[in-house]
Amino acid sequence: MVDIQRPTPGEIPPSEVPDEDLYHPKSYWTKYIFSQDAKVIAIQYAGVATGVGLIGLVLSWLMRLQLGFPDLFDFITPEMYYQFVTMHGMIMVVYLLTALFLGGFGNYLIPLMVGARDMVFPYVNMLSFWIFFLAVIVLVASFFVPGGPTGAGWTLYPPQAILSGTPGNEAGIVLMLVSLILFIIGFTMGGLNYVVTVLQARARGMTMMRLPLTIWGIFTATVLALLAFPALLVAAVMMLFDTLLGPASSCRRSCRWASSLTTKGAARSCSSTCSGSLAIPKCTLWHSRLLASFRICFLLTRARAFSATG
Amino acid sequence: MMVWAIVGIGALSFIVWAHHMYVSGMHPYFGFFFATTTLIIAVPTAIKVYNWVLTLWKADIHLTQPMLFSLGFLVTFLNGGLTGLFLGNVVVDVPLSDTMFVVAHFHMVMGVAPLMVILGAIYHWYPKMSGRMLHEGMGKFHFWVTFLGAYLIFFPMHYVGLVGVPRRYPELGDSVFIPDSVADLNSFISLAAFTVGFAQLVFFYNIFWSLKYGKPSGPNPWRATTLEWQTPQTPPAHGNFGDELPIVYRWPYDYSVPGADEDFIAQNDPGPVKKPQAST
Repeated sequence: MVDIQRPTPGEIPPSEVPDEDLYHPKSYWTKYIFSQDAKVIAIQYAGVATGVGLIGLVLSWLMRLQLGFPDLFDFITPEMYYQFVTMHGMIMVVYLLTALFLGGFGNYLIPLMVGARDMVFPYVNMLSFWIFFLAVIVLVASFFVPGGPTGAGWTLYPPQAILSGTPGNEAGIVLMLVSLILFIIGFTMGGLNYVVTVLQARARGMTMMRLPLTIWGIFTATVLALLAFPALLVAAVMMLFDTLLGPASSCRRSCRWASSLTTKGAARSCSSTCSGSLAIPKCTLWHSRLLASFRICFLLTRARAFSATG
Repeated sequence: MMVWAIVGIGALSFIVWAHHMYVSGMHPYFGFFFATTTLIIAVPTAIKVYNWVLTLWKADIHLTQPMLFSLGFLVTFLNGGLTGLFLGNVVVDVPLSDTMFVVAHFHMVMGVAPLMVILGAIYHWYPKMSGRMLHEGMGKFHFWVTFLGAYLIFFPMHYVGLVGVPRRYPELGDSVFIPDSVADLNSFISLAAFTVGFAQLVFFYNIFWSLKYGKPSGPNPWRATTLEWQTPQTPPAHGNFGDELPIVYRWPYDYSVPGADEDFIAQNDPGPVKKPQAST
């Protein structure tokens, strides 16, 4: 297993792309706030994720207060308990773990460990953090709306999540879904960056099998998230439509009729114009769009690499 | 091997999702399929765990803060994984489903284990990020309180689940099947949880304290091979690598290579080929 052959320096192929010209920040704002340096973005990501994680920790304390001493704390109602459970799970898994592992450690370590000067798309990287930050603000805002945050459990199973009887089924669930949508948009920006940087910006001689396992772990996790999050995005958008626009029963009927047709066009036009429960055509439509946009991004990167070579 | 294990776990993870819903009334064959895929994921995972353990076997282990957290992760991940074998089997899962046993299981695997990784990683890379070491004593105190405290929280929770306490219930009332010991255990778990939570304040204090008063770390305090430890400045400056990007000559784990001068050989070290040239 141990690779102890020592190739002579001449065996390392020459660089395919010239050394990149980095954006150099000129003021405090562009250096530390709207920074395009992956190391600063990493610390921003980690800081915000840890901050929101502390809210998750306090929520777990509130749950444990209720479970450990059920008769002592009258201010915790059953509805609030469900809201604590939901927000604790959501915060810890999505806003803390995903953001800290990939946004925090990913941003700091990928360029350093693969031997690059920065991420390949520094500007998109900056946008990724600020959209994540917005998602966190929307999430935290749901604690302060009438009815409080959603209490549907962190799986947010439809339709129970938007039906009356579930805590926070008015404003709370809407903010939760908006926040998730923002999070996924922000993550996709960051995630494409991580994947493309690992694939395209490695130092000379850094083959994929010479990458440290840390990078392999981050890389695989990012690919998984990029494949899995679009489905969640679609689900969030559809549930948001169901909440805000109502079940739209007439629309649903016509969609059912359209889906009984075999022509792809009819089903497509219908699913793209109305909200409702017609999951499959809509889902495929969204998927094909997202996949297309991913492919465009990859093509662009390849084009960038090739044009730089030539 | 480790790379393929990671990729294998990633690929398999797309076809295990229904193991969350064995009791939802699904067709038995459906449950059979998902139980099989769920248990198959144990194979690449076991490859990784064996590899970690065998790497440590007969090694010269320094109990530094990152190593403590790594060992804590290994033990916790194994513990959580073992209860996963219970829950992955449909027949065993049915009575345990929606009990506190499940809560204890997933907090072990995806709560405490990732926490150990995150904290270990912060202790490991903090010197690179700040140029200073975190305070040793505070770090060890933080580790032992967090590690042991996590077990005080989640081990009793497995028992609470086994006797049938359901999850998602704000209070239990006077249920006949629940023994009185559960109430005491619940109070105990809560107290442990408060303690562990407050102990994290030591960690945050350590981060800010060491930023100013920590021992200077030098560029490569852990004597590691990978590129981030070979940067010209610590913490790395804008652009990371100065004028010249590094060139990589070897895999990232050239530790204890027979005949080498040092215990580690950096990835951008061209090796002894260069040396005879320099000496002649």
